[in-house]
Amino acid sequence: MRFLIISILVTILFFANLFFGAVNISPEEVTASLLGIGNLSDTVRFIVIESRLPQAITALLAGAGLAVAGLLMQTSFRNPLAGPSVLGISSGASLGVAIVSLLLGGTLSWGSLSWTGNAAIILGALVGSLSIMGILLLLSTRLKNHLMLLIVGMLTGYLTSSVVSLLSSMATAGSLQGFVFWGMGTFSNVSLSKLPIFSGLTLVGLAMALLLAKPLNILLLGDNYARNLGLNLNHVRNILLLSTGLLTAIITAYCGPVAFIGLAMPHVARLIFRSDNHWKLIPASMLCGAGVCLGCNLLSVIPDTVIPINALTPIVGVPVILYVILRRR
Amino acid sequence: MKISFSLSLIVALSLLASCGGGNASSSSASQSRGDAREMPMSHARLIKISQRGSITEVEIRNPWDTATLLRSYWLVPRDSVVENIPNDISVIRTPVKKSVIFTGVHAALVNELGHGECLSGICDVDYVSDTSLKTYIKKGVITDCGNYQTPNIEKIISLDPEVILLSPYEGNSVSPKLATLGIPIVECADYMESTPLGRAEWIKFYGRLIGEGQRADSLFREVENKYQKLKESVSVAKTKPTVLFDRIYGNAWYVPEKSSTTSRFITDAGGRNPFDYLEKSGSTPLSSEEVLLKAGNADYWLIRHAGENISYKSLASDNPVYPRFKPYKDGKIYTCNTTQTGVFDQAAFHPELLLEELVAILHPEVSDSKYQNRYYFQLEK
Repeated sequence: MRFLIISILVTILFFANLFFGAVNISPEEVTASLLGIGNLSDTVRFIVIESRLPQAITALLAGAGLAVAGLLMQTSFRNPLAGPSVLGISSGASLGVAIVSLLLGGTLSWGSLSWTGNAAIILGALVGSLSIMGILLLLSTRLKNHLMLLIVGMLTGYLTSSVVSLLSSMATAGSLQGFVFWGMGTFSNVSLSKLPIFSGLTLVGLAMALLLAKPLNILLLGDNYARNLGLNLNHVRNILLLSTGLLTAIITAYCGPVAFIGLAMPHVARLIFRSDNHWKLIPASMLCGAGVCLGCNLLSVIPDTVIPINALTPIVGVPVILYVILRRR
Repeated sequence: MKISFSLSLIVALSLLASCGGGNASSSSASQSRGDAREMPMSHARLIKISQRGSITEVEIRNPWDTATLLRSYWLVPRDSVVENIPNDISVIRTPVKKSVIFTGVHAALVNELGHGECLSGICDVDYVSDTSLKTYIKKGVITDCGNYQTPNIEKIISLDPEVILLSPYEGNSVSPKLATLGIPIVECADYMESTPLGRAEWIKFYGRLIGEGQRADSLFREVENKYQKLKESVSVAKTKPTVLFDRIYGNAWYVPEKSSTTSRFITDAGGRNPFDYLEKSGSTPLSSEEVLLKAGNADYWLIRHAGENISYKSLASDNPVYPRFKPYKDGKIYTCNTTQTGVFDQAAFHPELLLEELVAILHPEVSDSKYQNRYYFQLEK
């Protein structure tokens, strides 16, 4: 029942994102462009199909992915304040973007290939975040427990942010602008042509997360108990890293470091479903994350101005976290 | 309306003057120095210059709260003696022989007025576009005083300047450490003027600082004449092409509002800003949908950038919205590398150069066919 209500809410928000935007397009025109019928102006069709639709799908998937990544981290570290960023993967993305836009002047070349603009930024973020994920995977075979992984992740985060501040202090105003705007987060960077690759990879990450539902339920009982039940902890940890890493890397690369969704949405899911069962929590977090991101995206394009996504997500995220902290007292 | 405004201004000013009872000594001092002769300013709104005997009195209005003053200065010739200086007045001995100028644009102006030798230090040397200044910095004649936000105070002290010129920004105009040095600080709020000529008129003030009042006045007259002539030249043009500026950053496209300098330049160059329904004087972030709807049919698209490679192909891969714009289809995109061309520096006190270029782009029918572009170059398809 609760699932049904939330699913309906998410669906409504999704369509609201298609019907409402910065400019007024009548519901008939939106429907006609979605169905590909009628005699519409090229601009209207473009706005609905190539601007609003990919943006709504991106918000949906990014929200779902970040919330799940947060949930996985919170369960595996047994820490309610963990989020997708604790592993340092999103700081890896920042580092990649900082190197591309601040050090290399926004152009990335490899032999005869060269990327500029958004493509260079996305590539930089991907290389940065995936390398941090690779390092973590390598280390995870040597590290005995999750706590060590957490510490390594946080240290990587500090290290990358020190390099980022060094690069920013030396950068020119123009290139700094590009970097700062990437950090504000947006769901509008994924165009219709890039959508298949973005959604494909995100869906793989989400599917891997679903596979983890059973082992995560067992992990809740404690590492030793899980081992006794025949669970291969290393194996689980690697899938966990891969899933979280992939989701965080892809979403951060395309949307920038979207704040608070991963941290707050698993708590919202727990509050609504009052359960620790991951078969429920994983899809519930996905729906909550998707819903909130769609809502923020809708609010970000109020008429005559645009608000950055990261200015909106904490407004939702902070009260939730405060509530959780106060309740745990 | 205007009359009642100026009346209330007079009332307010006289009230202010009567409130300053503690400054009785200063008012008597100014009386004994004779009457002030105010210099007419034809475009600048934030600065007032008056001559009282040998002393030039300068008042800079607070751009963020125009009812108050940001700073007041007395420019006093080196050999004269002044007494009874009110507390809120900074006294600058002129002509200034040694100065630290934070911004390349003001340093370039001082150099243009023929006094490059009084530049001891500059901040943010990476942004200096003036070639002769670049050589001075390279040779070490002008010291690099570090970053604008966190200047190297020790270097500044060691240069022993008589005055520091910096651009103030809202809320935090002067760093507390700089303020304690006891060196007069000139707050160059010229960039807050709402018209290109208003900003350029500040030349008169900067010229007086280095003892080149006459030369500065004639330089400004020249700038003003050229600017007005260009503006008149397009008044006969039959069309008013619409001009779109820049591109998307993050999730927003920052567009110029009606009273912004960018918008004034477009209007003065005989063009139209598609966003002049936005009344204010800065820029507004809009979504790409809205920009497409309001400016999709623009005639020209001018993109300012910091040096990255821009091509029709890279624009299309950056965002599928770009190829939807008419200038993209018609091949009427112009790009300007702001760091290399020094457009911001030069347009500050030589707005006629930028206007000439914009007129050449928007109205080739009225401009000199031999004109060579300085800032904006047509992007090759």
